[in-house]
Amino acid sequence: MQIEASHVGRLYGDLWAIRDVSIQVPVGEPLLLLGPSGGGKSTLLRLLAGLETPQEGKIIVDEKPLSTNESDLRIHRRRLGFVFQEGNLFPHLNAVENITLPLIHAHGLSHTAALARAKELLERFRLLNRAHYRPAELSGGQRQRVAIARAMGHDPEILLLDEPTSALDPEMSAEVTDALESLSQEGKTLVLATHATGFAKRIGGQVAFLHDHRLTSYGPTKNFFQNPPTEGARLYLSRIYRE
Amino acid sequence: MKAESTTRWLSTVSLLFVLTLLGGILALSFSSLHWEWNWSAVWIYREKFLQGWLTTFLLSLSTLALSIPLGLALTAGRIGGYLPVRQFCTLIVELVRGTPLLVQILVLFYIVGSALGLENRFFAGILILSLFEAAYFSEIFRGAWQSIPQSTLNSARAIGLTPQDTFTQIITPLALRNCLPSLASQTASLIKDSSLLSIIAVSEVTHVAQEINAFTYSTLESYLPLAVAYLLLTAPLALLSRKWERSLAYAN
Repeated sequence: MQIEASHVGRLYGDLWAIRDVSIQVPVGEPLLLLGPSGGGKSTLLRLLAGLETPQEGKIIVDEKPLSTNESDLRIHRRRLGFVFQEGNLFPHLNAVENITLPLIHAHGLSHTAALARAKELLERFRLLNRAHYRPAELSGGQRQRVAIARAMGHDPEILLLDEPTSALDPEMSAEVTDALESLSQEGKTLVLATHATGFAKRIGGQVAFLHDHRLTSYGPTKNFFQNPPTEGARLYLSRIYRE
Repeated sequence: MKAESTTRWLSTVSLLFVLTLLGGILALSFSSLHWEWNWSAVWIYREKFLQGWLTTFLLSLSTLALSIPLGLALTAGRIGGYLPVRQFCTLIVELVRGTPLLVQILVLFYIVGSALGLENRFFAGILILSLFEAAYFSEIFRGAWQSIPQSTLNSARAIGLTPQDTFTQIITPLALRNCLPSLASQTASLIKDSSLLSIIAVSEVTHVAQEINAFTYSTLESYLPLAVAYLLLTAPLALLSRKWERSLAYAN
């Protein structure tokens, strides 16, 4: 699956959250969206995921422009996996039900098949003993891993994550980044908005640096950290390291 | 486990103390009143009283069954309807909530009811009370619907649920859970509100108590059992509401 943004712009009220951004999601390696808060990372992620539509430019999927019709967008979203900053698990459902719900209702699996798949994923993320816990009874790291498991249910080619560790303490972050690294090593394409630079360096791939609502640089992660390509990137990294 | 049984023991003792205190205050007030109790006069009317109580029960149950769907319809109209529908539903809700039930009963029964030829007081009572309670239920439903965080709805979109599935799988169970305690306490209000139908002579329990008082001149003996009769219906609801509130606090 190929996703590409072509000169996209998204307006909120009378402010452009991003403008004239063109980027292609690389296949088989992670794409990291870096940059100061408010720079447009989340917006780009949501546009790629079909959660919002651009006012300028277009999103191109497998060389065809993505329609802005809600039911077409729904089909697009069903091909992807999306994880929010705070997992957004459904509070009335336990871990296993959170995973089976989209499998049954969005992907047409039978109850038995969905349950088997959910158990398999919970086992993989070492959460099988939490299968019947509600989100409120799970730790932040466990919730986020259930959210990743939910997004992985239908085995999407691309997994998009919006600052998945920002709301977690370092130990819980590690639980989540470990899970993401293993997914990436298996060849799953991750598109990730993040501030976690240590994790970004480890996972490699490409960095897209978004600053002041524009894409100001794009290139291999290693180069970005060794030799920040723009003044904005240098400033951003120096601020992050000072913390 | 031991700590739990100690707390329970303490709370029982404390409850007994509170009950004794309240009972003492009541007993003291009554004794200073030098009231001459005359229970035998009202005892004659016990069957009539029981019938009135059953009427109140039936009246409340029918009103509940009618006002909840009506409340849902009002909420749906206020959230999802076209502009005139939205305005109509909002106007109804605000009119009903902003005016005394007493006035509504009189106007709807003697003016609207007569014009429509609706003469059965029991059914007219159910219809009028249902409209009144539906307005309150509608506010409860609207609050429950609005209490669902946008982030949860975003999640539903992200996993590719259709609006219908989002409504049945996510919104309804969450909203229902959120509004159960308020529903139970509004139902208790509904039962007490039904007492106002006595002014159009629906023979519910308050009307019966008024009649017994008129026949026997034993005011306290007529109205004290009335309080107990309502408590028998409302107390279980209060307990239920408390229980649901607790389970909600735990889930969140």
